[in-house]
Amino acid sequence: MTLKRPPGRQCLLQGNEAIVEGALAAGCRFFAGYPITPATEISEVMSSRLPAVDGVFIQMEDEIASLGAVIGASLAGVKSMTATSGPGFSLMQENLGFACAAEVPCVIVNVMRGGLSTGLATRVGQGDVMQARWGTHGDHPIIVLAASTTQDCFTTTVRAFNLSEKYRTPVILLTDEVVSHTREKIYLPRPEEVEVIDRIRPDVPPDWYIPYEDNSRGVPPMSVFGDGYRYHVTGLIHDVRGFPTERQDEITAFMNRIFRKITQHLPDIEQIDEEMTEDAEIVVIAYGSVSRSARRAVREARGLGVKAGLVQLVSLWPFPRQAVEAVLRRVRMVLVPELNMGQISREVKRVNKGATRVETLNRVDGSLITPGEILTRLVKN
Amino acid sequence: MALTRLVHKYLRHDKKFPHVWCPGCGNGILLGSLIRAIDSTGLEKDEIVIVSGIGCSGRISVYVDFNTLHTTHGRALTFATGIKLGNPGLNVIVIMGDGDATAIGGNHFIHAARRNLDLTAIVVNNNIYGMTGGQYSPTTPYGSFATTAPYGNIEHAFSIAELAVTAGAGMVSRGTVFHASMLDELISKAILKRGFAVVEAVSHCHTQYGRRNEMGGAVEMLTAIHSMEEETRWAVLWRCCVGRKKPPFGWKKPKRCHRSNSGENLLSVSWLTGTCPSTPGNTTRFERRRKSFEFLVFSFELASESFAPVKRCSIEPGTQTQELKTKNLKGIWAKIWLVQGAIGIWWSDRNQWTWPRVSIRVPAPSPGKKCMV
Repeated sequence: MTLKRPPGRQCLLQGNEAIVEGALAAGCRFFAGYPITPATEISEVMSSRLPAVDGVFIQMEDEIASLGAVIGASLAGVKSMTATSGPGFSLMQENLGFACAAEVPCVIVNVMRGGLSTGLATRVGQGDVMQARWGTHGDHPIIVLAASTTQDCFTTTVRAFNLSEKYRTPVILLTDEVVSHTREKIYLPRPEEVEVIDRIRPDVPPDWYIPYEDNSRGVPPMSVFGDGYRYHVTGLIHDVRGFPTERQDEITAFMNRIFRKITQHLPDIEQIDEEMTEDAEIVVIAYGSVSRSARRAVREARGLGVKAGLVQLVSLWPFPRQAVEAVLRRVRMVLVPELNMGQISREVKRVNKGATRVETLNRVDGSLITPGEILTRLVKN
Repeated sequence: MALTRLVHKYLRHDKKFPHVWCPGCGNGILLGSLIRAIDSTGLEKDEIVIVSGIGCSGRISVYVDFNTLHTTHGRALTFATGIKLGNPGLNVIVIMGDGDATAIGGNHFIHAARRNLDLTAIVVNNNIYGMTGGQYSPTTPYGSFATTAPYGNIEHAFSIAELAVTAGAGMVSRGTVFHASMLDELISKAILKRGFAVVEAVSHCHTQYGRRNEMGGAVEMLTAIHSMEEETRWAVLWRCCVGRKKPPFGWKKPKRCHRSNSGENLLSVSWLTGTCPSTPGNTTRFERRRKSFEFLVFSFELASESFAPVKRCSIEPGTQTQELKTKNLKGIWAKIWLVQGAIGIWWSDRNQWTWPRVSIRVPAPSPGKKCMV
């Protein structure tokens, strides 16, 4: 861990370190966390890097407090982030809902580990996909991204910050133990090569400022504490001025807007990575570390004469329905390998609506799905 | 007139009123104290952030015209931590209830006190969960009734001030909504204090607590707070050495007060606010011998409506004990003994000693560990 790592060069980094680099490149200057395997490296590197860039690192008493502090710092105008794994992510759900309701941009990295409850602390898993979407109570919109390589960790983290600032919403970045702990070559771009988006601040006089007023984007400009725009931030359902309301018309307008701000921008948010799907008959839909096994399996299958292709999901939620639907319509079979009992495969089946055959390949023993396993299934069909 | 001016200046009087509180609620008195205290500090409205939790007291943030944040239940201090670290120029005041601060937010409360960040925490203690309908809270006295304690509360209450002291808060004080002017003073001191400053505001909930325990309405409960205060005047004091293993040389063990868990103890009030000016290098002989020992109060203030004007006492570094005299308005004088690590009061009218009940640790002056922001 060196204090200065000049950008614009290649180096050997771990996924967790790449996430830190991505966050710093995106302008993150506040990190609050609580130690948890396998996400601790993010805290460790942040604690060494942030003070060097005038940022603040704090280790809180638990994950609830971590996300609370992150939301507080974001309200004070600092791009902020926290990182955790399954058990900590469960604790964060309460304040995650608050961030959705109060529309506070922040990034939550969840390095998924195996199993339920304390589970398999040092092993890999992908069991938090549904929790990331539906974990907090009540209907809420959210953006969830997944990274699969160390380079991905960097670019997806930058993208997570950009989306969160752009749409005033918490963004969850899902990686898994393998992605986060794999050391590999990564290109760290120069600051001018990284596209950084900041939240839109209000430009009207304070008396005219209506903090949650709807506009064509569905994303109201956000003032930060201390700017002179004194307003009320609450987790209660609120009216356009931010005050709690129980009026039905205001509740409906609020709920519709927070959903619309995501659905209206789906083409900008949804992202998949296709490989050899143009003429494919069998397509593997994967994300995270499994997509690396799948990539190799698909390439080997091509060598064996099987017309296989890969769809790697980068944005998990909102589910990239349009793009996946197009693939489902033209293939003979889809294989969804996952390190859980079938979470994204449910979503694929929902989108599929009987268009093609959807098969699953699940593994929950804390080990990776090997390329061989996927290849066997590809060749067999 | 002055009050109208404050109301117009600090309240969102044209937006979110009428408020949700019952007539006679202590939260209104606290809200008044809060805006008077903020006004007396002369801070700009833009540089103040009010963070509140969930409950009746949590509604305060809706009514005041500052940067306001109404958070999740018990987590107010965590949000406040983030705001303060994100923008240290802001003055962050956190308002919590007793259940909010010490039950669901107990962990955050002790750790915020331990970190000693520059936050002001006002804990409105009404001994009950009022908003949800009168369930017993961690400060509900033993034996009293609540909707979830229909046969009397079988749990023992704990003292918020003592908890904050032990956890390492920079300033701890306790006032009541009966003594509103004192509460003004405590809150303004807490706001100006650099470090984690706790003000426990003893309040009442006649709707949920008073009715169920046959304590009468708001007036009767306020009178009860007042009469408790008469009995326990001066009995609540500080001890500034908490957590050491051996008592210091020449230190006599004080006779401890009977520590009851009834309502009497809860309504006892302390008018003492403590400051520990940083005087690095001024260490006593004893401290030079044992580095880890923290005990000396360098100066402290006794502030009370009946002991006005404020009497300022101080102990010279290096001395072991000191005797000070102070007199209240009724002509009763008290001899205050500042023994190493403890404070004892000798009463002229009662001819007896009283010993500390609330313990407050004043951190030893060390330049590195004062407060984080």
